[in-house]
Amino acid sequence: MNEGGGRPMACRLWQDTVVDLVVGAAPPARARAFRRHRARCSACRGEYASARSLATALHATPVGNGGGVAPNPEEGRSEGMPVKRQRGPLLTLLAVASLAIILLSINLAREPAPVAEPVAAPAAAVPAPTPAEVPPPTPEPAPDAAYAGRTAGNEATIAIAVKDGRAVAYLCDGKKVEAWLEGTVDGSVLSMRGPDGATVTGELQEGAVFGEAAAKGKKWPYSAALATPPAGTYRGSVSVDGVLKRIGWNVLPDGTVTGIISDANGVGPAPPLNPDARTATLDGVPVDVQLVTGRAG
Amino acid sequence: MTSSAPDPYTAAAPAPRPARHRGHRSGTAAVLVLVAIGALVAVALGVYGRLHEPGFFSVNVAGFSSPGAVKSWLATTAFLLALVQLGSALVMWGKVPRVVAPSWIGGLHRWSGRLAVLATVPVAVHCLYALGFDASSPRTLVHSLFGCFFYGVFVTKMLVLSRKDMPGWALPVIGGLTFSALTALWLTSAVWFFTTTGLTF
Repeated sequence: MNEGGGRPMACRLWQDTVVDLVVGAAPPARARAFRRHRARCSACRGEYASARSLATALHATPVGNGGGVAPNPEEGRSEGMPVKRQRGPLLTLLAVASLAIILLSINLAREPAPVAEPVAAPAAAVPAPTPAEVPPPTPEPAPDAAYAGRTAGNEATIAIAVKDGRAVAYLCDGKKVEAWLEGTVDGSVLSMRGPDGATVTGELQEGAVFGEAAAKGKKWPYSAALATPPAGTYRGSVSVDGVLKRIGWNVLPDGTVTGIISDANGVGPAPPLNPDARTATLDGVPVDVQLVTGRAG
Repeated sequence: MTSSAPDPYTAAAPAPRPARHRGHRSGTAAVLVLVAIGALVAVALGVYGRLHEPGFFSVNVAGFSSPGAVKSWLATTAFLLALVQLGSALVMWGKVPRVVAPSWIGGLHRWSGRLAVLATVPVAVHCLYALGFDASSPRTLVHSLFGCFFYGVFVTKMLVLSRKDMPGWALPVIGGLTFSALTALWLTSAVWFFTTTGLTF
């Protein structure tokens, strides 16, 4: 940096020292000697001044602070650079915080609907598990009930749990598409929403629900019959090798089990569920399985 | 900026430069304040990670097979940049024999650091938002602890950099801790991911 055209040239002997001083690599003894020499030599004074101003221009932050090149202890403060408060690191902090907040708000904006709180064991709403796989058609549509069925083209299974005017549905194709939805029951009309625009609407008719389910940009009509355990929706969670995985299963009145397992890395087919015993294992690890009976409260 | 250890150039000097403006004592007190701020950040992150119900789903980055792959590659990028950080810091402080700090080394250090920490942010947001503070296995516990610690010590480092009255040992110690924390994070995440699922994109 001491070869710039038009700038004064330092004495050959001191050229390296000028550079060392500016980048902060000059030993104190040499710095002192240079200072004595500089007092007498205008060429070296000029070279030193222009080298420092070049360094200032090159560095976003002034020499003589913690952010950049280590300044020479002898030279840092008294001359050359204006000393001001370092803003670079604070701007870095600000940038990091802003990025984090932006990403977090994107996540929050896409927040999936709160998933039904599983109620441990057979709750009051659901009769004790009956091993029979016959759907007992109860004539009166009880306010608290579960329904399970399929979409019209058998693309996916759906199970809906109604409790205290709230409805929870799990839509699952057993391969890739799944959605937990939550909503309300108004008279005989069900309306539920899930993440990424998933919706399930339906109407209660004589112990069954008929309606439309939409997820991942597709829409299917479905029908779901009244279901008693073991039919219904089950949720499981298991931690394998330190990775938390969640599972959803739909058990249809005919005994069909469809499930999806998901972790932070994606989704896949769920391990088999034993609906009667409410047990499942993944890689030898027992899964914590719970029947979903609707959102409590 | 004078470290306590002797370096090739200033070893003969009578004493390291005394702390910048004020005495050593006030400088040390100021460091403690900044460390306390960093500790608060670390604790706040840990509390958030513990209390926030893991969303379990988070925005994915297009082009990668899974969030795990994205995170692993981002973390690896950050770690490589952190190696640049370590090297440039050593050169800047005259710890590499016979290497005189070139004028651009400060810029290299600043910008590699900025890119490194920015690369970690999407990873950390996903960790915190989708997974939370997880003590269910040693790996995740260590990773969770270091994750909180890293951002705490990073905040402290930025604050130390922005002040001029810091004692000479502050920056090397805090910078070293930042580097070590990032290395531990990388070992407990990306290395683990690549060794269990293979080098996937």
